[in-house]
Amino acid sequence: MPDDQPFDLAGCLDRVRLRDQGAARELVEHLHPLVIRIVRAHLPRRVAEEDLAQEVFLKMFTRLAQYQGAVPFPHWVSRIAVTTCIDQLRAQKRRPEFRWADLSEAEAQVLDNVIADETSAAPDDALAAKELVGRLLGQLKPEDRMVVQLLDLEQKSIAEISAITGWNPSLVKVRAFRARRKLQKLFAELRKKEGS
Amino acid sequence: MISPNAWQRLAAAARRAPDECDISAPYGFAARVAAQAMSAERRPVSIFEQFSLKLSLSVMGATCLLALAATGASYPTIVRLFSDHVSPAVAYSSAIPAVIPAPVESSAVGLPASDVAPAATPSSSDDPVAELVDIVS
Repeated sequence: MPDDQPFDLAGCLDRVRLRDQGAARELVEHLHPLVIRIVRAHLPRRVAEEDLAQEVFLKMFTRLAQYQGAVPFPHWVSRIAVTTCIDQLRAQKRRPEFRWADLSEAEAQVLDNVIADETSAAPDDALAAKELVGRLLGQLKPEDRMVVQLLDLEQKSIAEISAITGWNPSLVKVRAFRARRKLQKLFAELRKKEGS
Repeated sequence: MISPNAWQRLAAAARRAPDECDISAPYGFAARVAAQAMSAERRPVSIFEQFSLKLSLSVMGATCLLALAATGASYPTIVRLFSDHVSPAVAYSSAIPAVIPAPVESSAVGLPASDVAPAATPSSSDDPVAELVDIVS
């Protein structure tokens, strides 16, 4: 498909409903960046991102007849991606234990900086900070993790998160509050363990 | 003392990390997913497939009932066959009747007859070995 033409989503969906395999392929290619961003951000351990993305797309095609157009199609697909990731995270049940000893030197340095409120983590430590954030988010409940990821890392608004997840804004706020409180508690526990 | 905005500062640092490399679909991914989705939707569900589980369970139930009925009908025959059969162990036991102790006379041990329990006869129903020996002899 030429890049200069805007993607005709409605036309593509009509052709997919008529069982056009080429249209289905175009739809997957068009939505892949959206889906893979969500999958990568919420990828459970030991699950390949391609497998999870494939599961999301297969669910999308299976439920396509249920799409009534009440929300934009990308939002509808995002919800499928979010719920699929949450289901996968729930299936893991056990969360990896978070210990200071498991952190790399750079991660420990970043954590030390942010906990102690000395100086802001240096830009050079952004990768370590990202790794550290991944570890910390792994300690949260899947829904709380989803909210804090979208809110604090992807900087989406409450309304946007509500549209993506299908949760009402109050619930999103409650989950964000709960997740941040849990993170603060984790920091305190880490500091305590490090001190002892 | 933990900084109250520790998480916010950590998140801000993490946001500065470069974005993941490629977000386009890997080669062949879209074609594979589309083909799989279309084939999965097209696959018709036959009546036989729809009711296959019910059918299998019904057949299994009927088979069990038939087996039970057959066992019930031939039960007396089976019992008779087993009761007529004498195992080699039983036949061997018939060769050693001398092992079975003889009834003890009450006068021989110097006890009154009322204090001595009546001696079990070889044909007594309390002693299965004696009973079998009696049958064989």
